[in-house]
Amino acid sequence: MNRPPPRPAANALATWRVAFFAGPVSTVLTLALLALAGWAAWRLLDWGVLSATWSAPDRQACAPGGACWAFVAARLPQFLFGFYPPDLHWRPALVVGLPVLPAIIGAALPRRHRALASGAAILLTPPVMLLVMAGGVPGLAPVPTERWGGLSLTILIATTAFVASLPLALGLAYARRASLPVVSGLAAGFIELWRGLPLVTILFMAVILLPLFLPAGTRPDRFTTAVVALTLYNSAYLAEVLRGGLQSVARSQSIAARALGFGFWRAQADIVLPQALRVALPALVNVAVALLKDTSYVMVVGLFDFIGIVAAALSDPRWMGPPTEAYLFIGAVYWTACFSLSQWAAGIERRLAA
Amino acid sequence: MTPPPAIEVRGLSKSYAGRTVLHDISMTAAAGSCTVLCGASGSGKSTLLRCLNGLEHWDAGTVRVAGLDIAALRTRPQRIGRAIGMVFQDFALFPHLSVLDNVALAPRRLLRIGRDEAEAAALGWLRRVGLGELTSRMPRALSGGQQQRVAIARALAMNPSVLLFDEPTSALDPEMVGEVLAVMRDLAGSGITIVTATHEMGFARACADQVVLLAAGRVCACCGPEAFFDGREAPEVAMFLSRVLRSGRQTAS
Repeated sequence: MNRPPPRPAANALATWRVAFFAGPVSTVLTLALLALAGWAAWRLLDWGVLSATWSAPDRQACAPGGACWAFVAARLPQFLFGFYPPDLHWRPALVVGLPVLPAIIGAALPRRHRALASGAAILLTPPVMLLVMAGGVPGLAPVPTERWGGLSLTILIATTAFVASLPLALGLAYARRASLPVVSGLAAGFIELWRGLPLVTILFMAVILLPLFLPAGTRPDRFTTAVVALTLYNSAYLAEVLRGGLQSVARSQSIAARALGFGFWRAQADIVLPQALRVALPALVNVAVALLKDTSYVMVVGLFDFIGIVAAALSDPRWMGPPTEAYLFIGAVYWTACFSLSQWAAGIERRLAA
Repeated sequence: MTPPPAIEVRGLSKSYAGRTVLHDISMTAAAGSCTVLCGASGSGKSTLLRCLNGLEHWDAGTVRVAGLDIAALRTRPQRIGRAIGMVFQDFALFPHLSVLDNVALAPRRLLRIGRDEAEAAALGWLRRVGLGELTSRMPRALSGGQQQRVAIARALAMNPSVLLFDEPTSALDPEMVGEVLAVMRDLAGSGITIVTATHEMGFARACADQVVLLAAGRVCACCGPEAFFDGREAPEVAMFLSRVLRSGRQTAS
């Protein structure tokens, strides 16, 4: 059987015709699916926008058959800033916006300063965030951690735990590759311990165990407990990601560096780590996105993170009703944050490949 | 009084996992000379070269290169790196750095030379190997011959008095061997001491001051190129030459 090779379609329209309207069955199916999709989109638009109520004193005042966004609108400051004093809301607002700064620095600076400046910006972000939230310095009134909450708390915890786990994870990754069995064994044990425990368990244990290690009478606050627990948990995952990156760098790179006169740590800083981080970047973003979502477990220690505070608001008698809008809102915010994170990483990958 | 030799190896022995890799090697090389190491693969050429700049441990013997006691300085790679450069079979360029940064990195970091000065010097070295135009390229965008020439410039940028080549042309396509050998010929006789493991007998005949034949970790012959290519130095030399020359790997030099 001798058939001619398939001819490439002349243009996009022709490609579409072949793909979706090749025969009567295909045409009917295409039209039916289009109608279904159109109907679903219309229903969603109608419920979410056209028939939705944007402002109302309570759920009873919301129009039936449409989304009750009034609930989200009325509680928005609390969802974002928790119980933070309303006249100081600019401070948690700054915390929510601050993670954008390293991204801008990375994109804006010329190539030769980029890596160092973005690295410094990433490492400095959590301390600045903590200072802005906690205050206690001239010009910034102190605000106790009990009043922190909402999206700003979620972002603060996720950022602090991720950045704090970076050096810990790097140390673990190197320790696990060490030739001394004691060192590599301890690192492997540490990683397996925290990776093998469910996060909820770690948080529960932190609440019970942490006070035992502290002087009698002092209680660690919930925020610190949550950040410590998440840092330990995350560092185990991050360590394995970084170890994978380190293993991907050919041994000949270290040998060439040594022959030039680089000592071990200099070679790591200038030659091995930059290559390892490039390889590890997609997996690093994976870990960061997972951590951002895992942050919601801090409800266990009694903190009101973004999800916790929205869920709590649902039990307000004035807004009792189906939680659809609340969870759609949560989903949209989380998705936006995670998508921004992956877009930032994609931008870095593009710049590195150039 | 003659100046001390640039390379002095006495009774160097090394075994690995019960197998003798180097056996009682002794050799010297005068400052500014060019030594060609040859021998079948596995004869110990690479290991000997790696002992010369302390990349390998050994069991017995002393190695003095460029006035340095290599065994004593193994923990201080920076001292060795200043005096001895090395070029590898697989180039081992740093893939995340541009050609210019590959050459300028070590002087900046290890000799603490300022960025502008180091880059100007790097450009000079790249011109010397004929690559002054490609400074902003990334290594992966270069041909094998070009990458190896960058690797040579990278080694030269530390201003070493001794330069070691570990089969610098073995990983290259035949048409690129010539450009790398041309750079090496330019360096031989320029005052820098060269030791190269290679199968390029044309290069050995034209540039070597001495040729060392290794077999199973022992020195079988160590003599000038005329005596070597006569084949009368040792029976192993004649056998080696007949194998190498028949294989047609001779490259015009």
